[in-house]
Amino acid sequence: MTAPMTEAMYYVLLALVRPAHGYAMMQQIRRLSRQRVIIGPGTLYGILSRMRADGWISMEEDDGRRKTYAITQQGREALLAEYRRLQSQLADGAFLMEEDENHETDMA
Amino acid sequence: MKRTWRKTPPQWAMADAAAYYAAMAAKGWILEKVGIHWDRYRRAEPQQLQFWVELSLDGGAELPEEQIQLYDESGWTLMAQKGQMYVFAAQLSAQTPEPYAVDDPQQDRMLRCVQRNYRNGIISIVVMLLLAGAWVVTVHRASLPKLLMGCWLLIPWLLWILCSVWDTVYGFGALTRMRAKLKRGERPEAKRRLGYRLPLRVMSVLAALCLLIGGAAWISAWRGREPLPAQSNGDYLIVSQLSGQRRDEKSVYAGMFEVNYVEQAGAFPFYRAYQTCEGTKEGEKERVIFQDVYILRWHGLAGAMADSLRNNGMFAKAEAYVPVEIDGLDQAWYVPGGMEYVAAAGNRLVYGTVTGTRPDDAFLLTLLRETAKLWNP
Repeated sequence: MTAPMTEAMYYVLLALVRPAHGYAMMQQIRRLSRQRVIIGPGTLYGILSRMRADGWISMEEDDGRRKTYAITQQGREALLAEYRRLQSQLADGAFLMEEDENHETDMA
Repeated sequence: MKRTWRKTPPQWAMADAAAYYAAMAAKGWILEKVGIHWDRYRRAEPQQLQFWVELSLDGGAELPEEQIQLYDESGWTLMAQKGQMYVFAAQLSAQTPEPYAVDDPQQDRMLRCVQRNYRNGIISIVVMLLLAGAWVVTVHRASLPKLLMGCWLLIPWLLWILCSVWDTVYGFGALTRMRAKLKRGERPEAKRRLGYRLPLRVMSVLAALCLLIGGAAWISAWRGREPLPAQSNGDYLIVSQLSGQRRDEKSVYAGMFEVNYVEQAGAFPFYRAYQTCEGTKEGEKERVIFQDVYILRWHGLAGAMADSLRNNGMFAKAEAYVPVEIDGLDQAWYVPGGMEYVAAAGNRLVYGTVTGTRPDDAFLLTLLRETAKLWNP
């Protein structure tokens, strides 16, 4: 079982479902998270380096100026595992929403 | 183009340095070059910029091109670079992302890297202090007068070393605190507060004062080479005044080197010194007598100085000096069958050398007795 990902790692993998270079990744993450997650260049570079070393992403293209990355099969599995983990966390906390709704009804 | 220089902020105070660069930019001074001790700024229109100091982590190698590219695309322009340190700037805007998230492990790696630099710095300083200590002990044994002569440079140098020690040790502590902050999920920022600045300011002022006072005292004491007067000033002996001696202006030695001069110097605050060179004739005997006379500010220095002068004798080894009791001198030595003598009385000290026609012991003893008379009129 892999360790939980940071939010930034999760979104980088999510953004790389379609190959992208660094800046495009940053923009994609903003769009995907509806401007909630903004990843800085330092954080992004660190994540890309670590993920490449771990085999989660690979370089698709290097035109000398920009490098384009894509998620690997291993990365996709890690992303799916993280997605499932988050989903089950959400499911575990679903009763909170029901309690909240009941509370609001009582108040009304 | 107008330029100005400001002291480079220490590496550990990265956030503080970034804030300082931003404040300078707001005043119309844009960072142009980062130096080891001084940063260069160029005059421009005041700008609202934000700065970020980045360090390359991979064994001091350059920051990867890709990372610089990422910074550039995010609005962060590389302004200056020195060694591991890269300074980026961006327009102050909500659209420009901060380079790192607070919970980024990369931040801790960066702090750890800087901390490692500081640890290495502490080791280097300890080694340097040990070497300097060994050097001082060696010089002390060899030549105390020279050590004292150089003290007005030595003290500022030691203060400068102390500043480096303080900066390094404080930096190491600050980085430790910053890493702890990071673990607590806080921004790893440390400011150069008064507790850091004050000791540096005090030491810098002291060093500057030492240089100023010591330099001024040295310059005021320095008289350069002047003709040896016919009469003594009471500190050094005029050998040609002694019975049977006369001043020799044209000895064979005069062709080899300058004779009959006196030089005055000083090692503030320890002593004033005269160095004389006199050519004399006594019948057919031609001699050149050198005297190094020290007028000490503290009597307590005399013993150590006398030891040092004998240890550092030009011709004879320290063991060759024989003590001799002479009225009016606290201590006196000469080298039987040799050319040197050393004497001390009160706060005065002389190291004399006689060259030319080989002096007999009686001549050396005469010089010691005449010195005693001169110093005890």
